Amino acid sequence: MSTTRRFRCDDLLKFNNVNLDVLTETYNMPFYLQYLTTWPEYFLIKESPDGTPMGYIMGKAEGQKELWHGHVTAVTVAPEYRRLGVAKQLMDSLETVSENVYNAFFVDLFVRVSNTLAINMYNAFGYSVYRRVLGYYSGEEDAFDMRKALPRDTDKKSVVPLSHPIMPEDLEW
Amino acid sequence: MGNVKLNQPPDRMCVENGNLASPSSGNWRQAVRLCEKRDVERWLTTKALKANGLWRLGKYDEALELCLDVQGASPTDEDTLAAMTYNYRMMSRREQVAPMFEVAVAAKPRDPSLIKELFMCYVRAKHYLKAQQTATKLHKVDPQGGKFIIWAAATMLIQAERKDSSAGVMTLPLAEKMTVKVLQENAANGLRPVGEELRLCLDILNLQGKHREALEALERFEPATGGEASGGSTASAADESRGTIEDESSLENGTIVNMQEAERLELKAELYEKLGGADDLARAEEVVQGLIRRSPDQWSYYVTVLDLMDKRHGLSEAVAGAEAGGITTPEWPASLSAALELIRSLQQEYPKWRGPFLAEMEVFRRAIAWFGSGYTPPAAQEVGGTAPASEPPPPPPPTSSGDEMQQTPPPLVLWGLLCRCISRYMAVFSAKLCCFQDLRPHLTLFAIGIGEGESSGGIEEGLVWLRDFFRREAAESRAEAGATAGDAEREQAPLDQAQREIGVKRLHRYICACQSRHLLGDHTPSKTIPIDNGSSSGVGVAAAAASAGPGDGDDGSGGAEARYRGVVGELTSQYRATLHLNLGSEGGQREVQHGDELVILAAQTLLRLCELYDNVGGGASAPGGDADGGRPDQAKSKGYLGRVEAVCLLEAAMSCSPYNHHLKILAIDVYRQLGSFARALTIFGELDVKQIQMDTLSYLMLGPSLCHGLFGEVQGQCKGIAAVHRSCKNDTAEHVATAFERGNYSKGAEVDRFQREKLDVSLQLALAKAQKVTMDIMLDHQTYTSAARCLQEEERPERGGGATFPGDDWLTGLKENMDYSVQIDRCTVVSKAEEESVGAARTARLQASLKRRLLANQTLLVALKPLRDKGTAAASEAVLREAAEAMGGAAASAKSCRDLLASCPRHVLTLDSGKNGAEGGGKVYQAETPLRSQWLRLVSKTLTDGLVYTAIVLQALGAELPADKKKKSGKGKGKGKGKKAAEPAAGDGGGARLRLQEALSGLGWEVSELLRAMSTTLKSEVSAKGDPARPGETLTKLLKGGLGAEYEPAIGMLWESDGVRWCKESVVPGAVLGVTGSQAICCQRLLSVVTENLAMLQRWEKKGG
Repeated sequence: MSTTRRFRCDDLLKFNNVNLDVLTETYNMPFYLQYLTTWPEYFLIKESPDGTPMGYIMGKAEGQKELWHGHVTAVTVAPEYRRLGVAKQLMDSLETVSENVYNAFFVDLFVRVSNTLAINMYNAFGYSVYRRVLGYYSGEEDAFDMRKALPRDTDKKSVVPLSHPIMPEDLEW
Repeated sequence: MGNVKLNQPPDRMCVENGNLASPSSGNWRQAVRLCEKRDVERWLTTKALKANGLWRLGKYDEALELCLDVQGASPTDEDTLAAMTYNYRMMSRREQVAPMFEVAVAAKPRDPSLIKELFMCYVRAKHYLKAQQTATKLHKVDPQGGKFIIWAAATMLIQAERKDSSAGVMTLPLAEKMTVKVLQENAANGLRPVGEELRLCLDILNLQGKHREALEALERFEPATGGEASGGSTASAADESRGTIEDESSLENGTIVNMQEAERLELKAELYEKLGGADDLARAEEVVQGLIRRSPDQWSYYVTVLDLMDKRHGLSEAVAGAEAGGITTPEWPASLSAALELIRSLQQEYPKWRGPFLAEMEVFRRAIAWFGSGYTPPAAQEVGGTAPASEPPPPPPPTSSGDEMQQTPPPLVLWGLLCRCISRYMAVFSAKLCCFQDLRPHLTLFAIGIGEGESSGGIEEGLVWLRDFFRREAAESRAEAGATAGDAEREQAPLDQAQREIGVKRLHRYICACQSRHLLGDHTPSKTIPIDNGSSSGVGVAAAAASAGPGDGDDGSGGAEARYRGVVGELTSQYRATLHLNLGSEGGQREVQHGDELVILAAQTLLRLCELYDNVGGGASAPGGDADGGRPDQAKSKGYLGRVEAVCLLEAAMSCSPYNHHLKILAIDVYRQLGSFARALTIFGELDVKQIQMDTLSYLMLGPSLCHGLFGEVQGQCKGIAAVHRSCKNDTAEHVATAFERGNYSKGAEVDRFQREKLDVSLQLALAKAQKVTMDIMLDHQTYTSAARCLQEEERPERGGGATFPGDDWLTGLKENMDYSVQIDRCTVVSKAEEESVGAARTARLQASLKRRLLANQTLLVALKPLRDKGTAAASEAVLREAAEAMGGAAASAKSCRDLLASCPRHVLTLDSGKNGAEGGGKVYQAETPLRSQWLRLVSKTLTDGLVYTAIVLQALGAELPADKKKKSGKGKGKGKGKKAAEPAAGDGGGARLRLQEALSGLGWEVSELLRAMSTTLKSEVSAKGDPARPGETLTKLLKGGLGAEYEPAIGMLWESDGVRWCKESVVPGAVLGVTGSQAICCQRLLSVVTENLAMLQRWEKKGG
């Protein structure tokens, strides 16, 4: 039970319960403001009935032609609200926006290769590893670029795995 | 040349233009040289780029001069303007950008991209009226489907919201006309409506109170359903420009995103609600019920539906009327039954979603307020009925004693129905960690009752029923007895996945039951219940009570203290018994551990107990008026010990669960209470508070740092807070412009509002700035000038300065952005109203303290000025008072004097100790005795308190140190992290002094410095007066007493955070948890020594003062 709504500036003052989690980075203001003012449909927060932030998702749409896609920049859930399907609901919302609002071909995200729990979770949400990006995380760890095709990609071309890993500088975005 | 983006740094532009070598390699010197080549040198663009290079090379004056030179030549080409814009931003001279573009636009009045850039300049500078005029100009040059008319309208809305004086009455109607016209024209041309434009239109109408018109607009510009908009191959030219989004390029000119259906319906319901007629409310209800069916887990929809029902049937109103002796109690509306029916059907449909289950509770909770808790709703059987057949959760497996514990269901009146819902919710969701938080508002209703009046009837019965219920839940979900003994076996035979899951679910259910019992007052008595008189040795009782188990505490055997102790014992034993369920870090995850909440509960229980101890001897609440004289001290000692125990518990839990910030935040608070700043600071560092969190969370450490004398830390944090705010201000301005560029007008207005209503009026920011001025003045008199400048800034008219500085309007307009929600408190029952009044009182307190601080700063500056100017010993407290009086007003005199004196002039002391830093004003301050001694008296209390706590912690931990570790640490001490370690006191050797230094090394350099100076001062003052009490010795004795020789090895351990390491190493929590009887005795003995010393010091102070 929660309320999903667009993230508002004021939430920046209240999202500590989520952001104090060690794996959730607190970025500088321009980062949040950029997402808020550019892709407001893609920046969603979930609140519990008492108004406590449970988690949020940040995303954007980018790419030309068949690479036009929704991107999950960050999705995070406060520890006490895990295992309730919050992340799933947030991801669903982002996919819906990508499909219905932005008419994208697919949704993608990056995840540390060591984060098996998250990878399993994304698998369960229908994402598959498209390619491996070497040294994506400050040169220290590789990332999986995971994708999920949307209905516009009728042949599911976007998710055919790439046979070889790539370097971060080869990323299109 | 036209493809250069203005927000690109010129180094990239150089590459793109291909004319110049790339300075992106960082070779600015070469770049500057290239700019000086003969054929390019005279170009304005080159000059602008050269200025950039010069600035980077540190030739600031030259760079600025060149920029002004370029600006003087009135450039109009985009490249030069872009480079200049970049330069001015880099030089923090943003205000010079707009005039530059004004000139350019005047020269090229029909260049849309220049005008657009000028518009953005005005938006960034918040000159919305000028922006509006510029947008209109832009529209004339480049109509673009009315886009710039919308820009103008959006800036008008912002002006109206800001209540800019220039925004007259006519602004909004005009903006309305403009927007509607654009929307109409676009609709006529078959263009899809853009969601943000429609939203802007509604905002403009709503702000004028024209809700009916807004509703009409919403319906009129409803997006075409079906395939019309997507057009297909026959789409008109217009459709192509604003048709379906194909890819990134479709959005180059801003958003064409339509409003999503759910958002449209939400807006519709909102508008109907605003209209407020009975029909409108019914319509709104209908819309929201439709939304509920679409998204049954969206809590806000349920809240809205119940609010609407309340309004439509005048339920709350009727209750208020009935209380005033007017109308009779309202009737149960049929629509409420219908809503319940819908909710119940959704429960069956989505048995795993919390939404519909919580919604039912919400219905009954509200109904209790409307109809009274003893009210029987129509067809109660149906409404309350038994759980639906398809309900998924099997009833919890009965324990061996389950049969006797069978609970009779509560009656089918409202409170009973709510209790049934609660019990059912437990059955379905107790395995989730958030279960308690979900139940909390409903449990609170029972815990605080509903106030006076008939309506509270039944609430008490409900409380009894619930207490009984949760007692059973706890008993049924306890880990099996003797679990602790089996630790070793368990390690050998690890749990399989299924067993673990069952164990975790059971643990979570237990946690939820315990949290609920806490809230319902079933675990610990309320604060007003005195502790037991007979417990001479609390710890002994604790041991006895711990074995008694939970829920048995009310048999009157141990009294309050034993009961608290029993709860703590039970919680910690359950924590230990379930530690094996944790997986630690797996798969890169850093989860909090399952049992952490038990430790939080236990620690909070202990802290409550400590509060009870603290109150002993405090007067009214002391139990047994005939208690002997030693009694308050004993209680105080127990209070310290309880806190030590709590912090040990938390440390142990943190070592098992290093990523749980709730544990950390609670630990910071306990360390603060114990006067242990070094460790608190380390933990605070682990929270990694940064960026915007500086505004919301630095309160966690700022206050404690200040009262513990960590002035450097305070200074750093204040600086950080101010810096974050400074950059935020630029960032928000920048992003209002981004929002316009992207066509997200509502977000532009929101960002503007955020800056204005939250950041600009941040109380934390004002406090930090004022604090920083104090610190600057106090810690480093070299910064006098900068501090004075800071203060002058505070006095600017918009800050409410002038004659009545600091202006009351400004002060009361400041708001707290602090996020207190991170400090969880599972024990305290607070009603919403109470919470609000506590919050308001806190804000007022902070505002008042800010006012005092500002006055003190100003007084101090005035007072210090002659000192600084003359460099003589003329200054004295009299000067200070004089200055204060010159400031005008009684508030500015005595009180602010005291305040500023309490602000710890470190340099006064350092200079005074005479060893170093005797430059300039040193002698001046040395002669200023009254000021110093007054200040010393004020800080000494805080300081000695801290030392007493310190000593007790050392004792408590030291006694349990294994012998070999003692040696090890004894050798290693003094090395430590040592960042803030005190320098050894020159020429003042001796064992006691050395020990003192060691002990103080963890307290922060400033404090040790302070103590050293304090000791010197006291000595010299006494020798001057010839006081026989020899306070210098007293002080040494005090410290020596606190840090007795037998515990020497422990000193370094704890305070260079090795003590904490010890906690971590011997992580078997059992070893850390209990404070044994012998330790308690040690501590009490120690305490009496310290108190004695304190008393001596006080006696001396009375004489000497």
